[in-house]
Amino acid sequence: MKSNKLYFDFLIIGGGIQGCSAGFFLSKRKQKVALIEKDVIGRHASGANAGGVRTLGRDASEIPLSIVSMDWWNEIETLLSIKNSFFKSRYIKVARNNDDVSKAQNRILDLNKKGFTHEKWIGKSELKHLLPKISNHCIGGISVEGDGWAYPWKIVRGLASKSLSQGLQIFEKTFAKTFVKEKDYWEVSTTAGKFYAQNILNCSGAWGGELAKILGEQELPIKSYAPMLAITDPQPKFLNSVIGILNAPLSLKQIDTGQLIIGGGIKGKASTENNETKINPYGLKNTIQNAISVFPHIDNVRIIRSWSGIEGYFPDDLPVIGPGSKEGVVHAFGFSAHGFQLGLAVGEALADMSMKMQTKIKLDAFSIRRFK
Amino acid sequence: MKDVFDIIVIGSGPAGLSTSLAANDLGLKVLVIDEQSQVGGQIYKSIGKNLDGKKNFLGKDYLKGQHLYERFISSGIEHWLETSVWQITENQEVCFKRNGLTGIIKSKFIVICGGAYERAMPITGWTLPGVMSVGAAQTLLKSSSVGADDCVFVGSGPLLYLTVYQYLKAGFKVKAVLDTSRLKQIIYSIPYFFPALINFNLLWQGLRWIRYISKHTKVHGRVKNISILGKEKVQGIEITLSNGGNLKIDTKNIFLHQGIVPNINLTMATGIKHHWSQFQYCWLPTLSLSGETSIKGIYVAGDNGGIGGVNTSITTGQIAALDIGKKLNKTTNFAKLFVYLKFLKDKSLRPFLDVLFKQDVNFLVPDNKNEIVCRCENVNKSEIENSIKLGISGPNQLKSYCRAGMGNCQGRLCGLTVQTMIALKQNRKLDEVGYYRLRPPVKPITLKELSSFEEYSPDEKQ
Repeated sequence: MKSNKLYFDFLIIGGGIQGCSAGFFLSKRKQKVALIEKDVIGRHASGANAGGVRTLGRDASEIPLSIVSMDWWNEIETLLSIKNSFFKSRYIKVARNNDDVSKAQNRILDLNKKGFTHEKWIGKSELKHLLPKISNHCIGGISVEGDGWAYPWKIVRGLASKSLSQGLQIFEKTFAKTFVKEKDYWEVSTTAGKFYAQNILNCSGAWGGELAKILGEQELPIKSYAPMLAITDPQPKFLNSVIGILNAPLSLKQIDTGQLIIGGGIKGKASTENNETKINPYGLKNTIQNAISVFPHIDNVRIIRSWSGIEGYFPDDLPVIGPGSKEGVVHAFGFSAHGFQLGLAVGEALADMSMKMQTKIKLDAFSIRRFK
Repeated sequence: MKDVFDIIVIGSGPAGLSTSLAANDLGLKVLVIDEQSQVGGQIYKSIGKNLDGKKNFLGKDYLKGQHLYERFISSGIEHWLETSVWQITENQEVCFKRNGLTGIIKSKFIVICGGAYERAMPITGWTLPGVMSVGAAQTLLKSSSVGADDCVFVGSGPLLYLTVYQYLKAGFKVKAVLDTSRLKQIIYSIPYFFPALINFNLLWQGLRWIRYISKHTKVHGRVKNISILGKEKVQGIEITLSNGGNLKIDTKNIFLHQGIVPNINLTMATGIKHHWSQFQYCWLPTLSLSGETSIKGIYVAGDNGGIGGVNTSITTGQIAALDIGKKLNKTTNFAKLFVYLKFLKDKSLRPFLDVLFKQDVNFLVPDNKNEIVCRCENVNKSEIENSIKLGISGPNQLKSYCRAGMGNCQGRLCGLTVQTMIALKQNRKLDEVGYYRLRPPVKPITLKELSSFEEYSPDEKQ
């Protein structure tokens, strides 16, 4: 393998959902494309996240992309020929006090003014109707019909294997060491030999900042953390919707096995050098308190395991998506723990950008130059 | 967070008792935590209840624990029973659960003495009601003198013979002992026999057990192709004998054993470095000569650090305590030297036993493709094989493909089987295949418990 010389039009660095999705769209368009991944497909934040598929609660600048992505999600199982991987229901962010209510209603008005009508207010009686077990102090919420959840690893692996069948070449356990720009192509030295490609797609998540620097960008204010999750014993079915809380961290869902998955972005420590994450019980404690405050009846359910991936966060909690300063480079990383749902639209946008086509959605808000 | 104790000892088997006693002798402030309602661990299970001499059948070795127990109880060392540790954080705080309350506590040093558990033996029919592990059968005997007549013991290893011996001595009828050891292991073990002779008394004791057992029950050696019969529950067992003949035995109770391995769930979840031991066919925490792990300040003693038996558990516990004592300027290295010599003597028996009773991988992987491997998630052999065929990179990727190892026990039962299956199918080395990534909570805790833990302070009663 060592002396292989490999020529591609597009070389994707990173086998998370963004990279696999870009690989899916480029290979679907019959491009000569390869993906290299230093560990295995979906090893970090893309495989180990809560699997929330939501348009709800997003920053206004992300909503158009998120809505385009949702169209892809609605077809995902057919597109990838997989089953039982995406579960469409609704997402509800619960209001627990009057402050939550006024903030939520202001948000909906504001979104309506911008032309977004997917987030709807639901009052106490409807909330109680949708979630009979919910605590009485919850007085309403924002809901989006059609949001849901997915098995992260099934989706990421589904994208990878469909792409393989479309001609994408995947190189796992392959680490890119150096990038040298020649006239119209990049020479990339990796642990599995040299790759040559006209276009580089930086989809390396928490490692994206380092790679961006190697590819000629400025120092970026990206930080790595380990968003923590916990899973319980199976429970009788009581929850169809995915639940969040307004103005507090929580994501709670009941998956098809009956188990509850509790997350919500509480960060543990992560090391990008040795792939290690640390579970911080103080952080989990806070999330679990929030879960019990919404559904008091689950307080005696047992947690059997916790886990976390490694994710890159920017200070404004928005990703970098867009062309780099050097010719033939595009970036998509630092999704700050809410990139899973966006992944499908981002993959399409990456394919568009690197093929020098107009993207469906304007991506100026995510420019890498916003930190200058 | 403030250090409330000098040492927290997790586990109160022989290693935990000796660590805490040695540390207490040096004037260190010690806390012992144990899940059970009595100190003693597995080997000295219920030792506090069995001091009346009525249970002679448990043997002299068991009663040796009495001395350790009495010293411990009279020492006044603080010990929390029915308390389990669900996590050790990166700041070396110990998260515990006690009487439905949870707390977090810090000490200068931690000594993990979590002991060992039995390897699974997933042969055909191993999940039928009526099948139990030998260790579980022994526990019932020790804690409540409960046993079953006309049972059959299957497997290999010193614990199997000890338990059969205790069973017979307690007056229960054993229908047969089916030994799965291979003849070649006897030959391979010969070079290790001579150093083991230093522990002549223990070898002699083992021979005495075997003689007693062969007098009182039927022992079949080198058996193969074992399958447990029965639909709803065990009805019998069928084997191929060493002479090639077939044998069917009717029984309602079958006890399986394939040796014991260190209980690495807490050490791995804590982030301590481990390595694969081909000799003991298990993962071991990587330890310094004094038992310190790759994380400074955390030690492992006893079988948790590598199977050594009761005597080495006691000495490794003392060594860890003395090493910590030295770091706290309470003793010199000289004191450690004597214990080291004792440790070397006790340890010299182990390579012989390791080779003689070496794990036979044939009993780690079921013959039957429909046999369950992961009991928590109900995953059978062929489902695991199908996932391996897809080119998984190791046990962690396998988890997401077929859910093996995702349940409550965190792979205690299926971990070694899955690792072995991947190594065999993909023709890879066992250490390179790796093991499940273990995560807290090491023991399940409820949402309420996790949401309410507080920092422990000695002034408030917990």
